[in-house]
Amino acid sequence: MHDHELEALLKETLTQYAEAHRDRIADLEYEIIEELPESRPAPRWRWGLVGAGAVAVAAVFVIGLWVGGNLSGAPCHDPQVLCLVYPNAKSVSLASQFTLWEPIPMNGPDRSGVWWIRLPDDIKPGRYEYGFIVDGERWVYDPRASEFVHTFDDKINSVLYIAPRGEQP
Amino acid sequence: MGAGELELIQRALHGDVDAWGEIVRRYKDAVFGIALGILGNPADAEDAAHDAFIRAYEGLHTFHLEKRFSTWIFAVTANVCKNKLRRERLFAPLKYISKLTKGSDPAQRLAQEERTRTIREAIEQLKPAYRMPLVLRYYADLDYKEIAEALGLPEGTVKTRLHRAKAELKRILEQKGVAHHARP
Repeated sequence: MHDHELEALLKETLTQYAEAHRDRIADLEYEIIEELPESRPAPRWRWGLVGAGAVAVAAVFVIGLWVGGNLSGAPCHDPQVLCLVYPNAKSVSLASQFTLWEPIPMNGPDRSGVWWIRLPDDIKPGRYEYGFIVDGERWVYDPRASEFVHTFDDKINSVLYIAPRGEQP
Repeated sequence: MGAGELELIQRALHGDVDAWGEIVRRYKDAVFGIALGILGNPADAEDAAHDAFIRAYEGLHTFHLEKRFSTWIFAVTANVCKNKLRRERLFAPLKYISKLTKGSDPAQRLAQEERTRTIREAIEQLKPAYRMPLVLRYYADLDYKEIAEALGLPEGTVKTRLHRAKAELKRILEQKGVAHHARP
């Protein structure tokens, strides 16, 4: 038997076998989603910061972070802070219309690999496009943005709306 | 990386479980197929696929975003299977026969089923150290380098194991006469 015959038989056999039992995993994604909030590791290091008598306060704190979609040391729950999870990056910068596309180095990473930057206080109300530059070369859009635009050079920018002071964005 | 995949992974890193659900939907067939090829038992493969996605989510921060996600999730799957084999000593012969649908001639279909079953049993007879690279290569289509990364082995070892695995398979199949039924 030639190698290519054996390889074709192997592929065919393994594929058919998996196909025949595919119904077993029909709902796998839903099972995983149901299970994940419990299986995600708790941010133990945060608990270490609070005294035993402040358990209730810590619970509220941790729940608040969950709601904000963040379990790291970066203050991503703050609406004035932009975050990007990129654990293996050596550097991450923010580039935006409000920085005139000049890269501004971000803080981080924290223990969870989150990079963050606080928006300047004097930023004027308006609509701004932005993105992140990873390791000085890779353009990455903010997946948490509510709006995105395609640029002429086929990249994606995130969009940020700054509301006038005192108004909800 | 597929369209929107990086965004899904980023969202999952931020704790968005629905984004991870979409990743599971995209990769579950491949992950299940690998687990089934390695473990040889649908129920164990289902458990392994489930464990692999949970473990991958928990360890997602260790994934290098510039690398191929498929290689990484397949590596996680192979490791889950390896641990399962080690833990349960799962070397029992196959108990399940797949439902083949190809071929309308009953005799032809029967012959094909018989051949497929024989090949599966031959795969099962291989040592896990040979079976894992074989499944990653011929089911998941990983190249030598990716298999080496997934299994934590030198590339040369992967090539050697694949070579020996195929030689052993050929020997078993020729003993069983499958070679004579191979397509021209």
